[in-house]
Amino acid sequence: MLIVDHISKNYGYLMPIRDISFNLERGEVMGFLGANGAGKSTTLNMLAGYFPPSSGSISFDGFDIFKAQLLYKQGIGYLPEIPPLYPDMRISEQLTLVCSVKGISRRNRKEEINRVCRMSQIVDVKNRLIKTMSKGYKQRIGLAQALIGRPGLLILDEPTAGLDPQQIIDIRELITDLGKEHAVIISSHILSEIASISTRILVLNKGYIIADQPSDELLNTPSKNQVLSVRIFGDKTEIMELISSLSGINRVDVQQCCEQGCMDYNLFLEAGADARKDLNRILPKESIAIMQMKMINPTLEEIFIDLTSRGND
Amino acid sequence: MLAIYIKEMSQYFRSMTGYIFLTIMMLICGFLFTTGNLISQNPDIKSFFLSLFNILIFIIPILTMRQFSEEQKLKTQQLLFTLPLSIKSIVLGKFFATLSMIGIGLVVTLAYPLILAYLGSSALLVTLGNYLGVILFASMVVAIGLYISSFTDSQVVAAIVSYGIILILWLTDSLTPSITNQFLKKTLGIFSLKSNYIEFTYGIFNPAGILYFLTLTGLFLILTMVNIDSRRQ
Repeated sequence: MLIVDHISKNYGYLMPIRDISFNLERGEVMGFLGANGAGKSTTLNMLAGYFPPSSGSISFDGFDIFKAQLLYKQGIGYLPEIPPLYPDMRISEQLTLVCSVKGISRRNRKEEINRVCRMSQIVDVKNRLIKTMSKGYKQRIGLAQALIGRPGLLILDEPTAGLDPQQIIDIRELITDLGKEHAVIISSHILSEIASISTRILVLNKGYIIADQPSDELLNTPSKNQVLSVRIFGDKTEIMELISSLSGINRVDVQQCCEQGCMDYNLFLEAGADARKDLNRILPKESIAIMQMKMINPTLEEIFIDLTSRGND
Repeated sequence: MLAIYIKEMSQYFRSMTGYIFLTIMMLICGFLFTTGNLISQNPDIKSFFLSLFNILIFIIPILTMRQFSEEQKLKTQQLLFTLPLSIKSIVLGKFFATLSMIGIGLVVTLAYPLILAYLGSSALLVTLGNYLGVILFASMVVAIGLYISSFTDSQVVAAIVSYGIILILWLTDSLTPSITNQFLKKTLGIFSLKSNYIEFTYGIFNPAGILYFLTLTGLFLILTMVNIDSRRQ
């Protein structure tokens, strides 16, 4: 288990990370969100052991980052935003270097390299020079490198950057699979990616954690101004009169829909209001049919903007 | 450390650096030996090693300039520092790899004392003293070069500053006679590169000279480790 205990980072007068704490178990995929400059990369670099926190402690599987640095790093696989690769090396040579540092015996190296190449889909190019590879391939070489030695904690900073759509799908599936056995931290600017892969989402703003919740919970968070979408069969004027007689509704948007005789009504509710029961009560009385009704949950983008703007206030 | 050593050695030969260094070293050594010993019929190997001392000052930074500068530029230091490797093993791996490259160049020069011995002049202790002196001196220059390259991501800057520092040590001898202050004169004498090296060329194993080079080598290696660690903070 990864235990991050009250870590901060300061560079003199600058303090990009302020008192962050969280735990992460194997089997969890944590999405790391934050605006530019929120402290995402600084945190990931500290977790990967690239530089130490100014205060607080980090440990993984009982190994403290200060007291047992090498054992801590042994359990970690890190893919930074720019994959750290030696352009003059062949892919297999780069992976051999990482294997030897991670203590994989000469006998098992070939097998391990084949395994990570298969997972990252670079088997067919593993003998090519890294400098001749495209950005997408470099990203996958970096991922293969991070997977060497089956690390318990995988830290992936923008793992799908530069990949084509099919590769993005494949890598997302791979991360989801890896998340069953490993603890995974993934940072991405593509919020839909975080929403689809992560089991838990952590949002950073100005160095503070402003949200740390299971993905389902966060994605079902009601927004300040909820929208109730209702498809109703019947006369529009009559329906609008009935809706306007209800309390707790700020505004109604009406849109054409594909079903004959129906219209889609978007009801913008006041904070805390819920018009579903009232609609079910008054519309059937007038022989008006409700064809479908659902609360529209905010998207992760909306939640993110809402959370970070609250933080700015 | 072994992994870094192997990586560095293979990188020297993967890029042109290793070949350029060895070519320059062999050409200059061959030229010095041919003109200084063979053509001038001089059986004394000492003159060759004295010239080699001057040459090494200028060619060793070719090897050291890329060491940490390139890692910084390519961002590959992020890989090294997040792998289970200590800073000591990274620095020592790079140090011994660079020293090994110089060693490969020196192996070729082993032919010269053998040629002189074949032609009738053999001074085993002088030859051994010279090789020990060159190795100790090269270790120190490599350590200085590594230290400088840990400051910058520019190989050119690393090379120029390395030359500057080595030149200051080298020129200490030229400054000493013009200094009147005895204390300063004595202090500069202690730090003089040439006066600590010259005894090795006579086959004298002076402990003070050995200590001088080992201390400076150790000092610059430790400074390199400290600098890398402090830049990570």
